[in-house]
Amino acid sequence: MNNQFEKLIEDARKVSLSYDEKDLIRHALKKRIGLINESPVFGGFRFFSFKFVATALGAIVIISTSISYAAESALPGSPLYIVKNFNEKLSSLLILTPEKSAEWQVELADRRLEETQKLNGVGKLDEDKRTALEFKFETNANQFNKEIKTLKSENKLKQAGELTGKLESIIEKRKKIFSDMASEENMSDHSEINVILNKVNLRSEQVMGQRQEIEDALAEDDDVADTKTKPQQLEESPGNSEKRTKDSLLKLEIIQ
Amino acid sequence: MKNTKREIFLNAYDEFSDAIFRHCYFRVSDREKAKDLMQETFIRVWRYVDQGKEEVKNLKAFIYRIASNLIIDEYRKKKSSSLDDLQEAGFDPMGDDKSDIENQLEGKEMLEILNQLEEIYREVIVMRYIDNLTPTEIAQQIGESENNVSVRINRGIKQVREILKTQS
Repeated sequence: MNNQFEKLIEDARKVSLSYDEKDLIRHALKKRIGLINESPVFGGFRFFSFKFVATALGAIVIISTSISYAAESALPGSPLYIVKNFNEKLSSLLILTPEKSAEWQVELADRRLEETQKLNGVGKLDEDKRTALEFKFETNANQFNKEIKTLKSENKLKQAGELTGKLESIIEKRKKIFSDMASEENMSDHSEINVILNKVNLRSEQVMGQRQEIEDALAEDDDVADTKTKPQQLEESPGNSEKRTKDSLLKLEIIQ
Repeated sequence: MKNTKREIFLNAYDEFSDAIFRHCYFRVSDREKAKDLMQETFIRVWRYVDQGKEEVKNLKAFIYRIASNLIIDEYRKKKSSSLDDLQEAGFDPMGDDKSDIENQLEGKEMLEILNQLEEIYREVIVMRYIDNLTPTEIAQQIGESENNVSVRINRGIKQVREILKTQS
């Protein structure tokens, strides 16, 4: 029995740290006592090391992108809606030309109408949300008008016409959806969807009028251009025919 | 002065780290936990040495006392699992070379016996036979009389014999 116990003791005394384990702990202790000046280690990374900073930045970008992506479909009342609004404001700051600004206002107006449609679809369109969305939609539409005015003053009628047509198109599309929603659900005239539908109708008429005005202006410009180009063509015509006659005669002489 | 302290500390680590690790290992039956306890022991030793409030006369005894206190704290936090429980939980103490694996297997046999001892006997058996401390040193570290320590060692050995007898 004694021999057996002695053997066990002998074996137990052989239990030790591996060389790597011992060295690793020694290294950690040396850092601890200030013999090695290194930035602290956190989860395998050293603070302020390139790897740590790059990983942290990568994580921030991924998280921010994910939140922004999720926020894109957020509706009023959701915490992510604040992120969506923030992103939109940030995007607005990056727009420099009236064309791009007008295009962005069209996009924003469409987003507000889409949100109205979705909220109504899930029965969450209350007066507060409707009023807020309506105000934003009107703000976008008014800003759009300002940009169109700038484009007109810069004699960019074609671009102004195209953008107005675009806004008119999205308003018409949403107007039809709202109208269907109101009639399907037998909504009263004072229901939120009907209230906003009336606003959209008014805006639709204004935009349609604006588009027609621009088209008229474009047509007028074309007429002016026609009257300027036609006499010139008439003046040029005899010269051209005379030249063609001369060429024909020369060809005949060569053949003969 | 500070450099001398550091040198003394690192020399102490080189000399006693294996013994302290082994002591912790046979007390808590968990290799990873034993490594943590050993490291924490030396961190506390450094703190004490660095503060320099009181001169450490017997560094070896001092290191063992800190390790023992940490092990007692560990027991208080969580009662040590039996080897069977550890194995069921997937515990498999593995080193990084052949001799380590052999050591672990041999160590397991000792652990099987120690796990069957009451803690007061296990403590002195580990100290006496694995750490190779004298009854006087053990008495100083655990705060018991030398006589009490000798009695515990004898009773512990008796229990070990009975366990070995049942095994054979």
